[in-house]
Amino acid sequence: MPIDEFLRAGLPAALDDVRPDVETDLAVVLRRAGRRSRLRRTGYTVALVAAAAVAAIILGRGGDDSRGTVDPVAPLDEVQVLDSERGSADDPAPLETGRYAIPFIGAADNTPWGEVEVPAGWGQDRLLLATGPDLDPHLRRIELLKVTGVSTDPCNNGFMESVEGGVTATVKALTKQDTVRPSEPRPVSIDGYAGQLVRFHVPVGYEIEKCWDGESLRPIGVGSSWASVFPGWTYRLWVLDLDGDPVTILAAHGPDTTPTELAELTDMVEGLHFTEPR
Amino acid sequence: MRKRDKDEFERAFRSAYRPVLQTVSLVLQDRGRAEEVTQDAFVRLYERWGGAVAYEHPEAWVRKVAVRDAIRRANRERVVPVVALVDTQTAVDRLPDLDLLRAVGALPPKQRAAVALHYLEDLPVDQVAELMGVASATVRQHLFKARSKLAERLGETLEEVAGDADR
Repeated sequence: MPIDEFLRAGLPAALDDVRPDVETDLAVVLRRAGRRSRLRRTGYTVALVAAAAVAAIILGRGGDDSRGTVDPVAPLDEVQVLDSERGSADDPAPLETGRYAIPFIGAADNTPWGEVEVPAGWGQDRLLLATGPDLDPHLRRIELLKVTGVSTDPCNNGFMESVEGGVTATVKALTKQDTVRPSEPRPVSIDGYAGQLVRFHVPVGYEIEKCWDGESLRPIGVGSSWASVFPGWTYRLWVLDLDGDPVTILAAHGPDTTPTELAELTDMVEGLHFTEPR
Repeated sequence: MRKRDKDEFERAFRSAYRPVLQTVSLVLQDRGRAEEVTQDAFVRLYERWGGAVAYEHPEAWVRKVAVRDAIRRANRERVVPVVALVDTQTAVDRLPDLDLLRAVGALPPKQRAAVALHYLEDLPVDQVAELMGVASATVRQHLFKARSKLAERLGETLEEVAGDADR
């Protein structure tokens, strides 16, 4: 039989098992679209206010007002690369709303980057996203990390257990940690990559003075550096398997974070896409 | 989104979802990943519904987005066993299907995509080129190489299928 003929007849038959539940999947798509729309709506408001301000300035200068209307979709479709030099932990630099491509700190050059939809009110502490300084009770913060070590006791400036063994080894080490009250891990998936989610909490009144620098806990190592967490913080770690290369998304929030703020934080993480490294 | 637009989107989804999912499954060789990629393309279509996408055929647009995304992912992913695509309980009765899927799965991602769009979706070469964002000559080259490799790998299966058809 000629190969052309075999392919035309054989492929539809071979893929006959791919029979999705179309209505269920349609509901999934509509739900995801709705969630992304909520994130974008906040962005549109700011973009339109900014556009109105620019228009007012132009008109005030006697400028041409016939340049057409602002298309709110266009700027949000552009993906910007996060500038690693801007902002600090104490004073995050404000970010315009939009999509940002961000590398996983400590990862190899060929590790995919994360693409995050950033709504209004967020800034950057270099390659980390934050809404305010570390001790702001409404703080929300997102860190994309390549975790290389897990501290056995985050209060102690001591032993970091190396986690070369992938998601399972990382999660196992995390759930044995003292002080930070790890939850039971549960399976998750972000942008098609499976992994485990573990939630941690540091009590507000935790005696941080007794810890290694008197200010913070140090639960995970990232190369020669580490991630710091603070009393009152709740933080979640999504440890994902990128084809055998585990990466971690840390999403932290302060003690006074509202349900709406928390939902926005979760939407940002769950809406993350993996993209080619830049 | 207005109700009328939403109804139109849902109609387009019901019509295009399965064929796009089948094509993406063939490119990615993994049903779960294929669902993610296909659904993501439809989410993006939903966001643009009634806007710029109205100038293109929405089903062509979503197929283009999904196929290109699938090729990008396939380029950076490991090969997944082809049994992830088929019902393993009936697989033993369908060895020619398995052979075919395995053989297509061994092709480079762009050749897989060209084969899927041309032979599974029955699209002409020019349209495959437009969807993949390459020249028609490139698609013809992908198909030529794919056919050669598949004929070589499927030699025995092709003879058996031809023999069954003769009986």
